[in-house]
Amino acid sequence: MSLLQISDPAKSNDDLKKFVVGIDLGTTNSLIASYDSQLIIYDDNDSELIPSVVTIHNNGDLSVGETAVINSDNNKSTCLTSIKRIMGLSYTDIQNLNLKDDLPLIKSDNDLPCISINNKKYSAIDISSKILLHLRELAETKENKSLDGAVITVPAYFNDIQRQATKNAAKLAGINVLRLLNEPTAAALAYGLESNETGSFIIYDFGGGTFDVSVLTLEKGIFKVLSTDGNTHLGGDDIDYAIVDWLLDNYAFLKKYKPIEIKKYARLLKESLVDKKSISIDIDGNSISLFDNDFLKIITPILDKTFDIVKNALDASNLSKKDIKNIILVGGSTRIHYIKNILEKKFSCNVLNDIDPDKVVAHGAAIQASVLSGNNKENILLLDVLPLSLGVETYGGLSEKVILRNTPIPIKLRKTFTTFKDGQSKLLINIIQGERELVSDCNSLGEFILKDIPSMVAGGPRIDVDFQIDADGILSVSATETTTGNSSMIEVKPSYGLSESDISRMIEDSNNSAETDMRLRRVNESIVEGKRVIYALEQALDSDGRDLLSPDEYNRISDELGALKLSLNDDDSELIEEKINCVEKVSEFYVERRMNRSIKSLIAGKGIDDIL
Amino acid sequence: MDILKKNFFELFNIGISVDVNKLELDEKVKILQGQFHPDKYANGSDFEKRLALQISSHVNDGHKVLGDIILRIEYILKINNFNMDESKTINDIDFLQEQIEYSELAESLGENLDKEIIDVHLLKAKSLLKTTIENIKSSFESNDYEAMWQDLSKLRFYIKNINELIKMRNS
Repeated sequence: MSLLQISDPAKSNDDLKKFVVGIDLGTTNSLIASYDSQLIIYDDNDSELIPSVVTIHNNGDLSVGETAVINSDNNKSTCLTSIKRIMGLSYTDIQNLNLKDDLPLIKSDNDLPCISINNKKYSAIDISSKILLHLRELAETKENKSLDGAVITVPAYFNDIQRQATKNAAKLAGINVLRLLNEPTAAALAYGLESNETGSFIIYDFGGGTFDVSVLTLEKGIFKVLSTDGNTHLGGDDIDYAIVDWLLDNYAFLKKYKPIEIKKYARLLKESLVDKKSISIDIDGNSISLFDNDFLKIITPILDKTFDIVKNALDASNLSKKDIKNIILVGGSTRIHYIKNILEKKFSCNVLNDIDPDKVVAHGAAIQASVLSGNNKENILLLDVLPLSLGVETYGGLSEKVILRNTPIPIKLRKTFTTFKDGQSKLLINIIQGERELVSDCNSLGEFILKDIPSMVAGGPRIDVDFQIDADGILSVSATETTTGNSSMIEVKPSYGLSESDISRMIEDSNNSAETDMRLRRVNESIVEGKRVIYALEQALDSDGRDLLSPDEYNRISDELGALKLSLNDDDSELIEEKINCVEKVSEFYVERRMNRSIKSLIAGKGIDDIL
Repeated sequence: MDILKKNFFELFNIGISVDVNKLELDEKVKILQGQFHPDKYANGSDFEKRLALQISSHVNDGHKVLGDIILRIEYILKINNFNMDESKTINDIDFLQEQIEYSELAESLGENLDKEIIDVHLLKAKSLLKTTIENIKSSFESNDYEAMWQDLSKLRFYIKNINELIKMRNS
């Protein structure tokens, strides 16, 4: 319970502090970090960038991260990379994208793509959850604490299904998701840009294999994503290959080396040249050199591609160059100093790159996690918007927008439907996301069947359908037939992806392998949670319990609180959790009264602190 | 829950009015989101999270409605239980004449963009818009919702025209 966060457990009591992290779940590499007065990045064999790679061995064992890269052997295992590119996509989507990935994909039920290895099927969610689990274990081992929650970053253009898929992967990995955060917003947060009142920013994210650009505007503390663009096959790898080609043209002796070795040298040259005029390396007695003017010639065609994409994104945002206040550089490839110089010249604005471009997204996510958990006292509130418009399919395959993109979230909208035939008992609603007019050009989020509609003449029933978008941009739908008040009439048919019951079953499966130390950990966790609840409630009761509650109500809450305190003496997590639930249940009306009271005081111009 | 039953004017504690001070509205939204946004309850119980989601959504919805003059007037009519029957025809001959004239103008401008003519009509539309808003305000003061409803059609029409003319001018 937060009880309006008047009292902050973390402020006075260190053991009650939550252990929360930010996770940058990247296409090529991932990072996990915490922020508590300073940034801590958890490493894997001394590497802070953890490869987003899962290797499945023929005997069914898995390796993740650094070990997955080292242990991949084509004969004995299958190495899975860049799984993020297919998160939340249907089999048909992937075929249309023409990904040149060599993932052994097969089509499963509901057009769901699956990776089949030795007759075992893995979904993109499964594989991502293995990466997340690995990250979680690295952080937990290092801190010797169990994780209370995480903020996970996603690309700004991720739709509802992709966001839900990411959240489900986290659920499977046993991670409590505090919030999904847009990657460009995380980068802006790392630079503290949210403290500005207004301004427009470009986030230039040039990674190992992908290029993304977002145009953000900050208006009174709300980050809006005006446009995004990118290329999922343009990154540092392309620069390495361009250097390889140049090397082969200029140093014939290299032809006898394996391509992978030449690429290693190309990379070494690229990384060593960062702030030098030239660099020479010695290969088995032969010297090769690269001068910065040659390097510039090699990379110019690739950089020009990125600048063209930036221009497209800027055009799509309806802003002009002079509107841009800052450009933030994200991704390892932006270490190439020409990028900063060229962008500064093109936009004549401040290009920010002080924070390590590989870590800036994880950095922002870690700050947000610490704010959400209450560990960080800064009063940052990030308000997000819906990334893509939401609509329903109407007659003729057209999309009728229900909630427009860039609407601040959370938001709830109601739409009323009716029948078009006498006695019609069912209605099918196809929910779509995207900006285009035709349903076939947008994404279907799922079909909802409204059933048990009372028999009436055509147009008689009035069915109110509520579209609720939460703070992560994820949709839930509920429906009520207003003439009868029947509200349990909705049936969700996910077009693809996993249903809620699939996820619960998968979580159960993974829990079956639980051991004794898991149980012990759960007891400790529930004791800490119990203490938090007691602390928050006692502080609240002290401040206004006598004003807002009758003596009888006050005693009822005190009694449950006493029972919870007693339960903390036993090593029985189920009992403690039950008592926590009882306390929360019995104080619901108290929470409600406090919220009602605080709204009055807030709106009258006084802060909550003034009346308490 | 009390907060969710409040109409948007009560929610933001501003008097029911055709005019709304945008800066004041934005500021109140910020204060309320600062208290009730679901992020503020990331550690809360399920009940608290649910309430926060509902209140925060209600605040955003209120911001959208009160921040837009057309939605705001519709909302004033709604909370005064005025029946907004879309099928009712408008019997104002002068207004019908205006609509026909405008569609002819838009057609001719579509063929031949003349910035000076656009500017003249833009100025005219803006002044008509201003008069319409004044009329709606005085109808509201005398509780004449029927007149407000009639003028709302004009308001929509002028706003649409102004946006179209500006778009043509910038093209």
